[in-house]
Amino acid sequence: MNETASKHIDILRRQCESLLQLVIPIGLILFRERDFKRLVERVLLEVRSLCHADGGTLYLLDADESLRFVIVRNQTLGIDMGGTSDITPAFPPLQLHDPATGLANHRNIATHVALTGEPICIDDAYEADGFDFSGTRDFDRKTNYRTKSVLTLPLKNGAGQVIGVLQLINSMDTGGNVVPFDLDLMPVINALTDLAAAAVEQLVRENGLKEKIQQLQVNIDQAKRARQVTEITGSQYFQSLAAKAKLLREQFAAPQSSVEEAECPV
Amino acid sequence: MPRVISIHSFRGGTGKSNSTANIACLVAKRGYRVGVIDTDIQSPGIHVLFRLDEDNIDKSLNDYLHGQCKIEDAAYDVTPPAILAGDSKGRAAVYLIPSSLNSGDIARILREGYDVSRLNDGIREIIRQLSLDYLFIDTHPGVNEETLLSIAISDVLLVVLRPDQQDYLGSAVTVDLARRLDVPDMRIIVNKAPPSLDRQLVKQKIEATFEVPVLAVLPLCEEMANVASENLFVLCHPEHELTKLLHGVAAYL
Repeated sequence: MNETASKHIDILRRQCESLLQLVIPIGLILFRERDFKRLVERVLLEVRSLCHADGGTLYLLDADESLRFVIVRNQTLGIDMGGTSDITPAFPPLQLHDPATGLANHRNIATHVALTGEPICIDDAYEADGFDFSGTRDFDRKTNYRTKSVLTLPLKNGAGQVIGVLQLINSMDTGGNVVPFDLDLMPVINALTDLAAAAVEQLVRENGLKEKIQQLQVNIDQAKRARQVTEITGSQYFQSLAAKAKLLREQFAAPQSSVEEAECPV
Repeated sequence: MPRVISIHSFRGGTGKSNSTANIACLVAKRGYRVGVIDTDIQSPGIHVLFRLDEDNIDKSLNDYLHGQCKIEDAAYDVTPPAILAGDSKGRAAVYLIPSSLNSGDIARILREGYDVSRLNDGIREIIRQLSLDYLFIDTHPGVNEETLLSIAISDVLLVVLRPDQQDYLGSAVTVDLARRLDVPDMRIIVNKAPPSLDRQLVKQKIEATFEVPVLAVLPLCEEMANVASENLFVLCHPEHELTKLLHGVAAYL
């Protein structure tokens, strides 16, 4: 067996091990999670851990075609927004289309991935062509951080529709150095993000249904209902009317001559 | 055999008069002679939907209740031209018995009241005089003697409510009273359902709560808001989903 074949088998073995030991158990945990905040946090943390990434952001696609920041984490900077954190991400949503021109926003990497449904792996954000990383550079300048490797993944539901985007920043080697993301892990990462997307979509749907049912609570104060009915039915007028109701209806249906014979004053 | 249909809601603002006028119009469109009596004496309004100008109302239900005219003198032929045009048998008609819009008349009836049995006689008489197939009674919201009478003489009671917590208790009371009066057929129309609500879910929930069949869940829509107060929606928007749902109600009746 030559060295290339041996390396390929080794990669496949690692992928199988990861699928069996990581993805399936994590997938089960995600599907059991009923709390939305804990679920999205778990999704981000598990994928981040799998990719040895320093930071990550999970966006969900809203009905107005914008990506909403749901959770943002960065270990080095101690950023902990969204999920179970008390701090809500304060960043404005990313529009998939320019509100003025209606043109698709392919300059931003997250919106590009949402629009195309294809993952993008960049080894160095500062050297990448085709995407606008000026916002990232601004952020890095303010925080004294250096964003280098970036892996941006679509979250797709079972029908293949993008429901969100997961972005990971700076994959780290065991020595703490920033390295490119390991593309050999892509099948495993894709499997995990597919499960994560399904779990998130299911919980969003469940919560939406719960909300609708909540809106539809038909609460009737039965004591008050009974009291009001008793007050009305106890009146002399009501009792007289109830006694004659059937006869009155029959009079309406009867021919004129028979009505005249059986007049029934109310 | 003429059928008396009362349309009632416990609270104002449910769209009761609008529903009454549009359903009555669709029933007439099926070739029937239809009467609509506005017993909402305190806040009359249904005449506007039938484009009956206030200046053309000489006698009203108030005059009849005070013994100042015959009931048929207060009936106005308001058959929309579109109904007449589509009526091959020449039978379809819509007559309206409006309440007075004169503030003095309204104040008088509130102050002096009237003999409710006279309303009963008038309803019976107008059905005979105009050979009506259907008489729709647009009732006053809440419960008083005339609404109880309207309910009692009805072959069908339609309770109109919005999917709103404030409407549920009063509607439940109305339903209980109608049961005590042995109304032969009672149905609920849920009106102004917001688009966010699953209408099937609304139907199931209301039916389970009130133990009364829901005849229709009508959506809240902008087009209705635009034409509602001055025209008949079903004639302005014959292909609209709301019109189709109202057709279903008319077909049931």
